[in-house]
Amino acid sequence: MRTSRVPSGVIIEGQIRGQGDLVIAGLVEGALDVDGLVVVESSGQVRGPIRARSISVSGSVQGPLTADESVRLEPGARVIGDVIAANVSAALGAMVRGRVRMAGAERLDRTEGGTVRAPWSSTGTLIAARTATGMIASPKIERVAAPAIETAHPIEERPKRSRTAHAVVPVAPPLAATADRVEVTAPAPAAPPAPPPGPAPARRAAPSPVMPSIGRVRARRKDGVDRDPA
Amino acid sequence: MSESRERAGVIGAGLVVMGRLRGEGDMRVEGVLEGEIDLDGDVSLGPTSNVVAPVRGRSVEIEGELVGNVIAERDLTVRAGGRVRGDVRAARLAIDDGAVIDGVLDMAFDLGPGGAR
Repeated sequence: MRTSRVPSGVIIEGQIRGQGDLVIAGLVEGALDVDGLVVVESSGQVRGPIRARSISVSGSVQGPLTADESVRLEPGARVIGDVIAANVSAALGAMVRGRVRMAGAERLDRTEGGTVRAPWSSTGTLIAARTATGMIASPKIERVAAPAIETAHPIEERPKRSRTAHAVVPVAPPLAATADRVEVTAPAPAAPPAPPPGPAPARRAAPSPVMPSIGRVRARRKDGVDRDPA
Repeated sequence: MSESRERAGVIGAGLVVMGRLRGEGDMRVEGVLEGEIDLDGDVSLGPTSNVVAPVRGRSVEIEGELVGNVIAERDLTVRAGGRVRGDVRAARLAIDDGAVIDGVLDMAFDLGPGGAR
C-alpha cells in the first residue's frame, strides 16, 4: 500500500476513498474514507467527514472524525466536529469544538463517581442537566434523580393495595358458588343459567310476609313489579 | 502551576468533602469531593481523586475521575488515567494518551482563511 499525498496548493472537490494512507497538505472538500492512516498537515484543510483506521490532524478539519484506532490532534489542529475513536489524544494548542467519544467512556458508567448521590438538589441536578444535553445515554443521571422522587411520594403505594383488595372480593365468592353447584348438577354450562331463577323467587318471597300494622297491600306496592305475578 | 504548588491547599486521599469549594488560590484534590469547585487559582485533581462537581479554575489538571462540566480559563490537561464525564470549555486543551473524555469540547477559535466561521 502506498501513501497518497494531496500537496499544498491542490484542491480536491469530491470524496476520496480506498486503501492505503493519505496525507493532506492541500484542500479537500468532500469525504475521506480510507482504511489506513490519514494525516492532515498544518497547511491541510478538509471540509467533510474523515473515516480511517487512525487520524492525525495538524491542520483544520470541518466534519466528524471517526477512527477505528486513534485520533491524534497536534498543536495547531482546528477541528469542528465530533471525534469518535478508541483513543483520542490532543496536544496543548489543539482546538476542538465537538463531542468526544472514546472507548473507555463505557467504563465511566459503572464507576463510583456517578453513583455518589448529591444530597442537595440544586447543584446535583445542575450537573445532571448539563451533562445530559450532549449525551447519548446517561443511566447514571437517572439514578441520581430517582431517590428524591421515591421519598417524596411514599403514599402512592396505598391505592395499589385497595385496588387488589377490591378485585379479590367480587371474584372469590362467585367462583366458590359455581364450584358447589357444578358438583351437584352435571354440566358446567348448565349451571350458570340455573342460579338466576333460583335466588330471584327467593327475593320476591321475602316482602310477601305481612307487616302486622301496615298490611299486605302496602308492602306489595313498594315492589311495584311484583304486583303482576301475584 | 508547579511553582505555586507549595502553597496549594490539598484535600487528602482519605477525605470526603461535600460542598462548595471556592475562593482564590490553588487547590489539589486527592480525595472525594462532591459539590462544586470554583477557584480563581489552579485546580489539580490527583490520581486517587473522585470528584462529582462542576469545576471552574484558571488551569485544571485531571488525573483522577471527574463527573461534571469543566471550565478552564487557561489550560485543561487530562493526564493518562484521568477520566472526565462532562462538557469541557477551555482556552487550551491537552488530552494525554490513556485519558478518557466523554462529553462535548467547546473552544473558541476560527478555522482561518477559507474556513467557515
